[in-house]
Amino acid sequence: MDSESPSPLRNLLSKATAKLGVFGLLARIVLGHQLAAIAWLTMKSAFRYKLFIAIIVALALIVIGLPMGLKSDGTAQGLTRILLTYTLGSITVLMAVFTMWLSCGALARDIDECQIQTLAVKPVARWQIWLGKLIGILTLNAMLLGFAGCVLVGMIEHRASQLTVLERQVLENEVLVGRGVVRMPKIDYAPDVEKTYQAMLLENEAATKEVPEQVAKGSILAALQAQDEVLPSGHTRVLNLRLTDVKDNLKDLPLFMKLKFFATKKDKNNVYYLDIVVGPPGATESRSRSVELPANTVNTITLPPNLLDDEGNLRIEFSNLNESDLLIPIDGGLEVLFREHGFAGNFFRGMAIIFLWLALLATIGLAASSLLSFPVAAFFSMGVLIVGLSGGTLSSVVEKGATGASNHETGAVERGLLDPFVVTFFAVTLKIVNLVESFSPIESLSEGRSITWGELGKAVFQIGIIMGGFFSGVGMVALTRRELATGQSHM
Amino acid sequence: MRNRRFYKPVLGCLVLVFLCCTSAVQTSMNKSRVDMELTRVTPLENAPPALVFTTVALGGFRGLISNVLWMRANKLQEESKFFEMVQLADWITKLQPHYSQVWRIQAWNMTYNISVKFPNRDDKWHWIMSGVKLLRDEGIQYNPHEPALYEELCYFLYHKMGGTSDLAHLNFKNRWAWEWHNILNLYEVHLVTEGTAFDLPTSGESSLFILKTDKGLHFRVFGNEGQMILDSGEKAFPEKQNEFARLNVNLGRLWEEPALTVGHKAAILGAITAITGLTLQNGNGFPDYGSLIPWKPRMADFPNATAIPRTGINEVIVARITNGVDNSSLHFRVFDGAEKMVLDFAAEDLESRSAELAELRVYLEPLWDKDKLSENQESEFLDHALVFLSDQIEIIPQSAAAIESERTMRKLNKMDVRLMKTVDEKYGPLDWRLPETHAIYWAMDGMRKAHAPSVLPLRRIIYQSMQLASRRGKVIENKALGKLEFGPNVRIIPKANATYLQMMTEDPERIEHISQGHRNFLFRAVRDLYLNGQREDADTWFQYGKEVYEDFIVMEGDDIDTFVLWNLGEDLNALNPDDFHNMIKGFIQTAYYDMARGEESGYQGRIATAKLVRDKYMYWIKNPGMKNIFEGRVLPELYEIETEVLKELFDPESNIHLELLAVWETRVPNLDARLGRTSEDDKTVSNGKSAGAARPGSGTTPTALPNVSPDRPNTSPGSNTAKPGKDVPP
Repeated sequence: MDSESPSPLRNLLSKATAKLGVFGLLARIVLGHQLAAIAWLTMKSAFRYKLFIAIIVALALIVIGLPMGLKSDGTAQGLTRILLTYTLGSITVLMAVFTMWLSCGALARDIDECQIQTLAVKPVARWQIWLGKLIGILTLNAMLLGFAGCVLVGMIEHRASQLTVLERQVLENEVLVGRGVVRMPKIDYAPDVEKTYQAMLLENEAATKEVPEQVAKGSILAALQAQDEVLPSGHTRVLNLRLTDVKDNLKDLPLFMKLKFFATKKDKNNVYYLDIVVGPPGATESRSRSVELPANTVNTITLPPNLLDDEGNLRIEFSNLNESDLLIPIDGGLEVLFREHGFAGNFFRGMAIIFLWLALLATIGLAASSLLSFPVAAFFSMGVLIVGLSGGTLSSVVEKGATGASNHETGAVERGLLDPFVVTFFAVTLKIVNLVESFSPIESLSEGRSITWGELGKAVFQIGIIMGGFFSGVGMVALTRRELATGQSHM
Repeated sequence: MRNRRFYKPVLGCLVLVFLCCTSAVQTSMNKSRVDMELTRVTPLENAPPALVFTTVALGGFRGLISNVLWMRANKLQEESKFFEMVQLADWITKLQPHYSQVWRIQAWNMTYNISVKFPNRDDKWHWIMSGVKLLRDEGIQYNPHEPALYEELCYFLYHKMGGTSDLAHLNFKNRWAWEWHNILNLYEVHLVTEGTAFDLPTSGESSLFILKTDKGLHFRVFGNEGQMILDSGEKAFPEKQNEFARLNVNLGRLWEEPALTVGHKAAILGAITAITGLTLQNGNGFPDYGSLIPWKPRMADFPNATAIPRTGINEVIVARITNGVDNSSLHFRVFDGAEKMVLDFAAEDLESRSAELAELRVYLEPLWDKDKLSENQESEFLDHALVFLSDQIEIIPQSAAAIESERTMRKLNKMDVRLMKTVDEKYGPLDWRLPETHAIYWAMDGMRKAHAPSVLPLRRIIYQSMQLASRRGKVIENKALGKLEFGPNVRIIPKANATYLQMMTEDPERIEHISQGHRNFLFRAVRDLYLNGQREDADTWFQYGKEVYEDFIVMEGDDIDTFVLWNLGEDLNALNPDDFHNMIKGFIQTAYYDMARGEESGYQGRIATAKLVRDKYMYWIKNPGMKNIFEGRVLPELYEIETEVLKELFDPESNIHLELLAVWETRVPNLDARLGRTSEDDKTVSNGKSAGAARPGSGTTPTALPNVSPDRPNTSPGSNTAKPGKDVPP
């Protein structure tokens, strides 16, 4: 009989599961019942205001309705790219506004309307209240993002299933994939520049010093770079790209070469002729192609599979068949893309980064509302968001070293009195913003580029731990130290 | 509580009712806005609801959003990311639909700037057409009175496609030509999924049946005259497995498609041509307006019967004679597809049918007051009129192919067949497979709709396009190679000349420039006519040129033959005997290419020109004034030079296309003897393939040309030789 009767623990668990559901029970076990209860209350308030339903409807409209009105370049991969870019972009913006509104409202309103006092009088630490709210908002975000992501993937898969085998293959090779990139190795020219400059000084010190040192070194750097970047007319250059680590995974898979070059003489039709040989010299796998390519644009050339040598090096030989010299920049001139991950994993990591962004917004909103009333907190959060989105402006100011406009012909910049302070402030802000903005999951997903676990880990560290941790700390401290009884704006 | 429950639904219903009411008065309100000059810009026409909503709802924010989109478009273009550009251009133009500059810049960007960023011809074409469609399908439709948009569209057509600025221009011309060839000459395509080959029809006209069976595809093709020209399965083409695989993929979803579009048909016909070698795209670029133009009813008031139009095509006119005596007198006039007036009578002539007439009058009564009939009303009116007239005339309904052609032109290409006919009458006959013809069409459309003072650039487009069309406006189907080629359209020379004269009158500021162009045009016209074997016409234009321009004569002698030789671009004084020899060979070679393309007049004209050059040379070697050739060597007879050219063409190293060799094999007389071949075996070319059996269906009926080489030994004196120039010395 004893062996058949349920143990007290099992009995308790089954009762708890029946009452709370599996997720509720798990949440209580992981977070503790206080945090789980506060998180659940936060979620309930979102449900109560029908906000959750409204956002679900809006997301469904975006994911299902937006693709119907989009015009692409006529290719399946173009349509999928634009679909990913616009739907993910719209989802992110909508979710960002939702998160900001909810996070500001969840705490500030509770304080304003004195509802928080019912919590504060219970044996729950203030930081637990704050964290519970955050967890509630993040759970909602995760649910909504998961819903939007699943619908989006379903839509893409549905559309892809209607394509021909060939089109689908192209799509899977170029967009619905996570492709790694290998580029020309960067060269540190500094020692050579210094060495050349010193040699010039030794040779003719007086003449060398007539030119400012920075200018002279700049000229030396340009000349050294040109040796590696310029492909003179009628000449051939060989480049070796290392794919050693991934060579075993690339068997029978095509590679994609992206080539961008500039020409010294402009051709009327912008067409230049190159002979490109890829693969080990003399091997049967080597592929040679004479191609007509336009300059000053990114040309994508599909390379057949199995062109790596035994050590995983990809040898590419370019011959310039034009009268004009060509320049292939070391930075961004040539890259080879190879299949690294499947789409599902890549998409998950991309969504995880978007989730981290939203989590940061939630911490900013909660931190602001710990201290400020709802409208002011919302205004502050929106301001932070706008600064975050102004990375381009900040970086251009920092690059120029001034806030004024520059003369387009001479390049001279007008500097104001406050510029040193403003530029320093902008530089610091830019560094902070870049901690968050240096990830571009939407762009990577739409271009079929890989988002690695390392990148996701970096995002977790930079966005989640450093930035999120900072705002969480500020928020918790602010709430802990705040006099809750004085915050009733409506009373 | 009960009242509150219905409160919101009632409000919702009211909103719907008011919206319907608003839509009913919207058109008249727009008209009133324009009449009373209440708007800064003309209200958009034909705009879809989404666009109207955007322009109204966003208000002043449109500019701001548009700026952001412009910046994004520029950034993406710098990064060579073009996949969003069509969408961004669409949004930008929709946000500022009134500004023609916005439409022009966006369209130009796609057609000119982005297209050159792609090495692939397909991509280039896609972007060129994106720009064309943006202007043609949207910009012009929403801003029909804006001449700048027409001008830009015309420029794309006659410069980007019709000109030679892009290396891929021949590819563009071919694509455009095939697209229009297919629209104008529809081949019926039937996809059959049930039954066997025995169940397929045994007769048909210009139709293709593709049957899907377990063993693969089965084709049955009927030619223009209903003859079955192919009936075979996939196994008959074992070497075309790749083409079959591609066709199968493309047919994938089309099997269930109830109606194939022109694009689908063109793709299928192209694939069948690639597999079978049959050219299924017979026809030309000159529309049969009688069959294409849909029947149109027209009702209008006229003071008397003589004022009713006496010309028309597929048109039923119901005229109300308003001579003040009897307001209800009706007059009927019907024109058929051949523009013949097939019916002309007054209602009084139909006393026996007074009841039916009264019925028709009752139907027509509410329609007289309408400014314009809707499509449905027109269709209903036509039905009533035709029923009433059914015992007088029999209207032959349009064929399904003609309906589809017209629909494709109207819906997809936004073109009106009646205006096409007007353009053709004024400037043609024009080949509608050429982009410059379309440039003329859109320029004329713009001139009709745009405000008069600003149409001068459109006139310029017309005369420039006419110049291009006369120079290169003839589409030649090279059946040997299955390609379209282009040659001078000498038929429109008089009309092209008229546009020049008109332009000189209307644009006096540029008269010097235009007259220079006119002079060059005449130079070229004379030469083209001459080379086309129309020496007399060439001479007429030569005399005209001399009357108009004092410096039209280029060399002493004043005869058409010398003029043409100079006009060919050679400084005859600078040529040596070898140059003359090569020049003659060049003419003969081109003549043989013309023969292969089926251009008989070109062949005759060029052989005649070759003879002329030789005759002139033989005369000039006795003239001390021609210092480079004076007392020079005697050139071989023309027949021998011709043989020399033939040997070069048949030399395996010359890599001439086998299809061309096959045509010459069957059409050049005495070829074996001229090439020094002794037996049939010698006909094989060095690569081991027989030129005569290059492809099925080509050159199966030997139709040898009469020998046109006048110097051929033992030729009978009555042979069809080209006329020698009257001033050519013996």
